[in-house]
Amino acid sequence: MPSLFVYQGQDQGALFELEEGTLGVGRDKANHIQIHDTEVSRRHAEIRFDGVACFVADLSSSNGTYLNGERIEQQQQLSSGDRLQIGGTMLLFTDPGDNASEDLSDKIDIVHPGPVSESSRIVRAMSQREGSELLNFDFDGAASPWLARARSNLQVMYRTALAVSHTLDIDQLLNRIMQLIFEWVEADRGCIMLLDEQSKTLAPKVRRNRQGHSSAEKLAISKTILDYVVGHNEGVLTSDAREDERWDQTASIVQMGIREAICVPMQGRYDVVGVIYIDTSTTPQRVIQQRGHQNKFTDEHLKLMIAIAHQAALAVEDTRYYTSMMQAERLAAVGQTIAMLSHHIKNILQGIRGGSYLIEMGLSAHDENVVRKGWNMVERNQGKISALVMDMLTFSKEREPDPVPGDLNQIVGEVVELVHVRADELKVALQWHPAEDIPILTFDPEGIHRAVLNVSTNAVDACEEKPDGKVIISTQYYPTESLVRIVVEDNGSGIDPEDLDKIFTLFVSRKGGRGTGLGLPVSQKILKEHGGNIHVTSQLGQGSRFTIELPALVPSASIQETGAGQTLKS
Amino acid sequence: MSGRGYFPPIMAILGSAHDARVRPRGRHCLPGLPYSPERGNRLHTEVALLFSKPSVLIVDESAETREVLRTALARRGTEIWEATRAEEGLELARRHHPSVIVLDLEIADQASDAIQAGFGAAETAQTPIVLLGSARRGTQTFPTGQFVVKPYHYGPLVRKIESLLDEVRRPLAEDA
Repeated sequence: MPSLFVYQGQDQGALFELEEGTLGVGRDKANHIQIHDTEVSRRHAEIRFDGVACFVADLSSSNGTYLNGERIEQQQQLSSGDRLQIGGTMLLFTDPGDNASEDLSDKIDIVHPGPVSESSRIVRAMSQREGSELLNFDFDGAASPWLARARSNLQVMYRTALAVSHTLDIDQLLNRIMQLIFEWVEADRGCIMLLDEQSKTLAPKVRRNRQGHSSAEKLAISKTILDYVVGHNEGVLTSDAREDERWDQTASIVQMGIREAICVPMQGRYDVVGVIYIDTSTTPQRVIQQRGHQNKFTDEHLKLMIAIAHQAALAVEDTRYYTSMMQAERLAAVGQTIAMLSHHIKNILQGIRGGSYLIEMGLSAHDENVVRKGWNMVERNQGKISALVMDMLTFSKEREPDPVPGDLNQIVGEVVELVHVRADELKVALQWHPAEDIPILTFDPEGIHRAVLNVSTNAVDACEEKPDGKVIISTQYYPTESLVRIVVEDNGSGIDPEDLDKIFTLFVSRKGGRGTGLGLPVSQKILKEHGGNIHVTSQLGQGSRFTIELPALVPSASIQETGAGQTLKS
Repeated sequence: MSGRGYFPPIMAILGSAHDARVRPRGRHCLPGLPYSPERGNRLHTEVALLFSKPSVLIVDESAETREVLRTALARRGTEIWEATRAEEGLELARRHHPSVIVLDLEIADQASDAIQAGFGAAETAQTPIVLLGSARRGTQTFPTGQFVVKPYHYGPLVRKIESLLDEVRRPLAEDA
């Protein structure tokens, strides 16, 4: 589905998926794409998606709609990567269909070697590394200085492309660029400044001297030059050597030397994101020695700097886009978690309020039955909230598994007792078949208790609407495989095959209001920590069978002496 | 004349025997009784009310909510029907024509459009609906629905249901 992503503005991080039809864009709540921006008109623009392509049209808004920096007069088709400016808000249009509309595997065949198709053979093979050596000189540079320079420039660009290709840290990226520039040109000082998106002022990010990074010397850059570069989006080459013969050259140069500088805009896909500045100075002594000045920086340098700055700007933009995308996703995940948790807590609260209402009613009517009913309800919900908290703690890393030697049947037996109350309420028959031959094993009793409880509670709940609901819980010991299994079987509602692979996914629950979507993921996490697993087979309408598999770790004598503190994974 | 009532079993018997133009909305008549525009409607309605017991249909997934409401409302002799699913609830509504329907919005949201429309129709036919849920969703389906936002307190909810029941039965009380 095509989408619009707000990468700048009040709604930064918002992602609007474009459904088929005509969608309004504007400040008003009635718009499909509502933008919280005072520079946006109430009904500002319209996006139309006809199932194949998207079009944007301005609805005579006061501030206009800009597509890739140009104000649109009539309806325009959008293509992936287009940038839409609406008021002060910038949106990025992405259409996965742009590229994915046809299946390329139909068009391209990988032909397996066979007697017929073997018409091509490998003539020469070259390693990835050699790609860059395309640019190395293995000829006499002096014979063709132009070619030598061109090759050198190409190599700089190749290295720039490599330098910007794999980083998500802007500062690190800029440092690399600066380093590259210094390796290539004889600059004395350099710095990269980025344009702050909000304040529109330039902030220095990287500074470098020929000697190294730090220097007490302050780098003074003319504001006139910076303004010119950003404003005109043009690179400049400056020199303070007097070109005018009428000036007494020697006087100032002898005092100051000659300073040359290159300052180029970092032009990205959309905007100027910053500037790169380098300069060099020639000492007066040197000028005198040379008997006249020869510029160190040339047009060629300027051209290449512009190219490098463009590469760097693209990388800066990508990194920014990626970062805000990540942040949007993280926020969405946090939002989903909070929504799920507050939903459960709300349900539990509702139960507690119901219970206390009944207690109050029973007390004032002197009806002990009603009081008891209310009390049971409060107790039950108290259990629910503690289960929720325990599941949350287990899922986060708060709780470390604490394996100790213990009797598995006893732990499962305790769970059966707990589940019995619920099973009786729902009139579900509960059977418990402990294996008799299980030795004392090392496991985390609290964790296993939690896992078995979650699985068993699900089994009982699944039988709620079955008239002859039955849950069988059993333990089995397989000494040869060094394995114990806790099997929980029910003849309840079963699980839809479509849902079967989702049951261990966090916050996915098929139990309606009763499920937290935490129970099974948490149980599986516990078992994985033990080196075990949970297997499920289920048939819709027939029931499910959950097998909890646990490696049977018979505590050795030494462990029995020292007791707890052994890790299970060893 | 603010009383409201909905007794479709009787309406069903009546069928088309009555002229819809003279029968005010929400008033129902009994067959065999003399009908006059001046006093007839009222008489018919009240006789109809005598036949029925106030009743509430609760459509909510939570067994606890149903239990609390059942316990509280049954103390006043209200008849209670319960459903956990929307289809089941609509079926009960059609069969028993409760005086008031309490519907969990979460269930209503999951139900098909046809079923939502069914509840909407019951409401149009002047069965008050109390909707339990978040915010004011579903206002289009239930234009006169009374919204109770979760998590709610049971005291006010029970009082709201009881006052709706009283409104339905007021014509009877006025004569008594």
